[in-house]
Amino acid sequence: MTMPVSHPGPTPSGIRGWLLAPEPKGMLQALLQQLYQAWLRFREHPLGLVGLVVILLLIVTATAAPLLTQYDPIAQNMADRLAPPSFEHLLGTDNFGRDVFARIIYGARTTLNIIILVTIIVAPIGLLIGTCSGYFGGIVDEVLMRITDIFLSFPGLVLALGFAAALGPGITNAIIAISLTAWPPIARLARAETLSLRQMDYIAAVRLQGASSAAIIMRHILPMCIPSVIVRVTLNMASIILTAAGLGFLGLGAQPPWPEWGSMAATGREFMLDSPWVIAAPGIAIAAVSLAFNLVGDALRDVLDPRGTE
Amino acid sequence: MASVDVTTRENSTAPTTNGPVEGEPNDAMKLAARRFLGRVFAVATTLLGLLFLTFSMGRLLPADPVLAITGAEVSKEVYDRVFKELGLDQPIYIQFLSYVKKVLTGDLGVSAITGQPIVTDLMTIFPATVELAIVAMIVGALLGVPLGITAAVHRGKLIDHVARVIGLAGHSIPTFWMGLMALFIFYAKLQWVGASGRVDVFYEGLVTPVTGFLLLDSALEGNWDVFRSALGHIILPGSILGYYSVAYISRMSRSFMLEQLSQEYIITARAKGLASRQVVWRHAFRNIRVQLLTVMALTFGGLLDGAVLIETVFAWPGLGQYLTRGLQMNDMNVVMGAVLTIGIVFLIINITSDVLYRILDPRTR
Amino acid sequence: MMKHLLAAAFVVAAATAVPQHQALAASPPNMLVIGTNLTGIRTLDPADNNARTVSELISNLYDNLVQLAPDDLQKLQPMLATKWTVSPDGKLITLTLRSDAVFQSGNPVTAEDAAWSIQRVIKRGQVGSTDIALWGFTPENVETLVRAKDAQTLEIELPIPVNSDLVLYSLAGSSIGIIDKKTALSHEANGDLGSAWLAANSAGSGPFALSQWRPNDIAVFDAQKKYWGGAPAMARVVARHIPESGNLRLQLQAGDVDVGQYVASGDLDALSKDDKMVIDSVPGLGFYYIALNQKDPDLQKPLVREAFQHAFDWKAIAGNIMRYTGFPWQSVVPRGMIGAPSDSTGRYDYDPAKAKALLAQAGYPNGLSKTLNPSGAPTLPLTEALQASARAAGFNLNLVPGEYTPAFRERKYEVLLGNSGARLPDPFAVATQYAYNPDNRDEARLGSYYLWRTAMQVPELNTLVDQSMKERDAGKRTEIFKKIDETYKSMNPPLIVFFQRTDPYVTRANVKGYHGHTTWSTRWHHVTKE
Repeated sequence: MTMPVSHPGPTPSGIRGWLLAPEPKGMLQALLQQLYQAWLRFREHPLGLVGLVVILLLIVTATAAPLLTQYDPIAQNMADRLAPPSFEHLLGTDNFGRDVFARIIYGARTTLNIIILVTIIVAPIGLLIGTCSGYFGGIVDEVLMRITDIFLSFPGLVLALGFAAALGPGITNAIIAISLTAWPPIARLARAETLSLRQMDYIAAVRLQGASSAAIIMRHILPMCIPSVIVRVTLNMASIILTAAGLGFLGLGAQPPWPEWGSMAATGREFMLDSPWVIAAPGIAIAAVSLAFNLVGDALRDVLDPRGTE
Repeated sequence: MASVDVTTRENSTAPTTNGPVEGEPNDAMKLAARRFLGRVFAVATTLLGLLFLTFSMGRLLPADPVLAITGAEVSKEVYDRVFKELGLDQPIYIQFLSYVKKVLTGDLGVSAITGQPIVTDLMTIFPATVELAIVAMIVGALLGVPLGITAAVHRGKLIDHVARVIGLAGHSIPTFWMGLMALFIFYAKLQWVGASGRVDVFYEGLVTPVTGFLLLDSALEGNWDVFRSALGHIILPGSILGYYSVAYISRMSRSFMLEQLSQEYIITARAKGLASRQVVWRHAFRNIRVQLLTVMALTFGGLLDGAVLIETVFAWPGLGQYLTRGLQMNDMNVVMGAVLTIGIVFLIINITSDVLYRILDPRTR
Repeated sequence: MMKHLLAAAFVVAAATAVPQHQALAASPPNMLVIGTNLTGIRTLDPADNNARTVSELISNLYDNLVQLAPDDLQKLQPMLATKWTVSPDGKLITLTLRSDAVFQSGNPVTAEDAAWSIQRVIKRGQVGSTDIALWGFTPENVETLVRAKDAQTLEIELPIPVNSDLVLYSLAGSSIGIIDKKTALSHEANGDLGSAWLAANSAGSGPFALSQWRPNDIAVFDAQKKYWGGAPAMARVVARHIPESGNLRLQLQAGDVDVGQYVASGDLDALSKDDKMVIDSVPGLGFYYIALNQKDPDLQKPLVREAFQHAFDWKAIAGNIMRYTGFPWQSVVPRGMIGAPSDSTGRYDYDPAKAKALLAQAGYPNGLSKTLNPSGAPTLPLTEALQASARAAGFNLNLVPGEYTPAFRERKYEVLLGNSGARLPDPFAVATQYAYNPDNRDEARLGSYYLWRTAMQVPELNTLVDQSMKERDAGKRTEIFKKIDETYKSMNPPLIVFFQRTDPYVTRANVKGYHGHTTWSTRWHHVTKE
């Protein structure tokens, strides 16, 4: 999955030139060059760009939530329950008289939280297990990959469900449960990357200089794996979001009263027939964000695996 | 080689030793045998790991296994006796070993909510899920394969993009939400299909279960009223579950087809002036059938995952609903049994699709 | 291959795309379909059950000696017993059984069967025995005290002084359904008195016999043509597990289901506007309450308990969430029963400022944080409402949803919102739950007493409840219950009652004669469809 770094033609100057320089000087430049190359290819995919815009929108919404709505997402007003959409309540109110639009907006925070935390948990674990497995090989590899395989032999949602129930409801537990199911693909990928990196001359050179295994992994192998791991996490993000929504739907997601799209949809079904806005809004929100990640992921896949396009 | 795509679902039983078989035939035999043994070992350890995971899941659940057996009204003496009988006073590793032993003898314990052995419950529940998944797979194939192939033929054009969005939408819209919406439209408003469950209530129990597949059983008995009712009930959850898998199937079909279309013989055939449709379906499609079969097998495992939520929405008396109810009622044995079953099925699917691929694909033979 | 696929697609499409409204038309005229929730019903053995849904199922398989009229609960009516007398000292009840009743096996119903069935309930010692064990029966004494004098005469001797009305009421409960002794014992295994077999089979003399039972899924009942009360109009009754309220509602409206139980409030609102539906909210003998665990040092403080009384904005949900499932009531003596206040709703008003002040006085000027659990999914919306209103009152309640009745029984919770129910149509039944706790130790495991579940013991209340059981004079009993209510009210109880329970039953308008019963023994014998 490594990118071709060479670039034909005259060398442009400035940042762009630095990014396109045929011979990167140092790790950072190499890394950024890879990313830039990828971006150049990514730009070619209109659907991927649409997805990217939606994801940016999610981030903006989540961070600027209080500016986007005047309502408190958890304040109940039973006198005004199940009000249909109006100028006052853009998406109506739910069964406790809470503003659905405000809950969707603040629910974006929950979603973003899940995305970020799962990434933060999953990426290092996957990286560490994968690189160790690939670098040391032998029995370490056998044992670690066996464990990885075991986790992979469950469907994601079922495993997440089991652990979420075992740990008890709550967003933190849901995140842990999802992470437990999301790290193995990362580990697999990191291992594959490490296997190819291990053969490289400069790693051998560093090793000859007497660097310890830990140092080699941490300083030279792990950083090289990061870009593809990030891409991989993005590819999996849609299913992470759907798993989170599924947990919420089954009552194992965020605790009330904090808004979470999946559990909003779950409570909305009781009022679905007469107050469809209560369930329509969170459903569309989940679908939009996960479709966005899917589109971005699909484009990234084409970027990184040219077989599909060429 | 067009390997099985790993982005939506991982193929867990990837071979541990790669590389072509070389050397003398005798060596090849030995190598094959060693490979086989290696695989058996891998499967066995995975299975053990599965058991360990389900065991720890069950032990973590906030349920009292004693009360699950005795019921809530229990005297101190009875409680202590059952506690001992269950071996809960033993060290945890001994408890695990006895769990493994029990599972290997086909004993998954008794459900606290149904009062029946888990194995008995699974006998009626499992076919319901498999039936649903099969219908879903048919729907997924009928939609996904033509979609992917059309996209491949019109690569880069608008149709390609549209096909991609259609496919990905199925993988993005939460299945439970789609299920609720579909119930709202097709049952509540249009009255085209049946509601929840496998069959209308008043047809319950009219067909003796032989295979456990209601569609098959009712057809075998010639009870077409029940058959129609059952079809009316399965078509909605089956379609939604099927649509969920369209993204994966169509993407695979598209990339398989693209690979074929770039082959020399296709280009030659086209150059000879054969109709495009004929080239695609008569020649290219024939060559990707095997690969598609593998994809379908892998899809099946993912459908079990999707079934968990769909069954809850449609009150489908299958494995998924069994699991979620077990979770909600803190029924430890149900959770452990259902998760283990799903895990084992997943494992079997992975192994078979792997084997299938090896046997059927001429390039790996 | 594509051709085959297309052909298959065509077949599927043709079979389903045709509007199936006609094919899926309503349930047949001689069949009653009940959409309900069968979760947690492990067995149909009368002795092992006392919950709501299962009581109804059992009541149609097994006849009782006596029954309570649905419209006048205190009026005992004959069933298998045609008449009964109580000795002047109140210690011996003699019942005369009808001679024309037969079990589904064809065996005649005798006093021996009745005696055995009652003995069996005590010997099994399961939840079904809770009511009658209070009358002093034990596995050791029950065989001599409950006996058949001859084939048609049953004698029940009371070991301790008990109000005989209470005893007779308890005989109408579904747990005391009369079982065919011979048939049950022929299926006995390991001395279980036939329990394993009765879990999934019936051996009663009721108007229906069990023909199919799949736990958590479906129960099918076939009419007994030779029932002594005449063959029921419904040839078949199906109780179907439909836990999704929205689904149940759709099926009611489509006519696939005739009777709906456990319909959620949102769907009830909608169904109330449908003139093809009738909603009957049957008053129940139980309450919606907040339970405060007295093992928690903060909740032990009377001022904190008092603060809770003013932290719940119950008025806000009375007209919507609770519209069909309860009415405001704040006394532990159910409305309309002897000793009940005429109005109790002025006791706990929502007053966040007062609650805050009380909390400050108790030593929590910055509020108090506790974990709040619903007893189960049905009470979850109430906990959400409580959480929101309590926040303004200084309580920071961390709401953890789930199934918490088992934890409640084990005293492993902090604050819980739940609902209760009882089957004896007498305030005594509720008083034992809410005001009685004879042994407060953990080992006592008295989970059927809610006061034990809160880990509080009040000797004075124990005495009063005891008295109310023994007293035979109606006037004196009224006074006792008044006193229980007063004592309870003034002690800042750990069980704060806000609503009295009602159970909504939705029936299609063409279904006649289905009347949800307060004591959950709803019988289908007289149900007809137009």
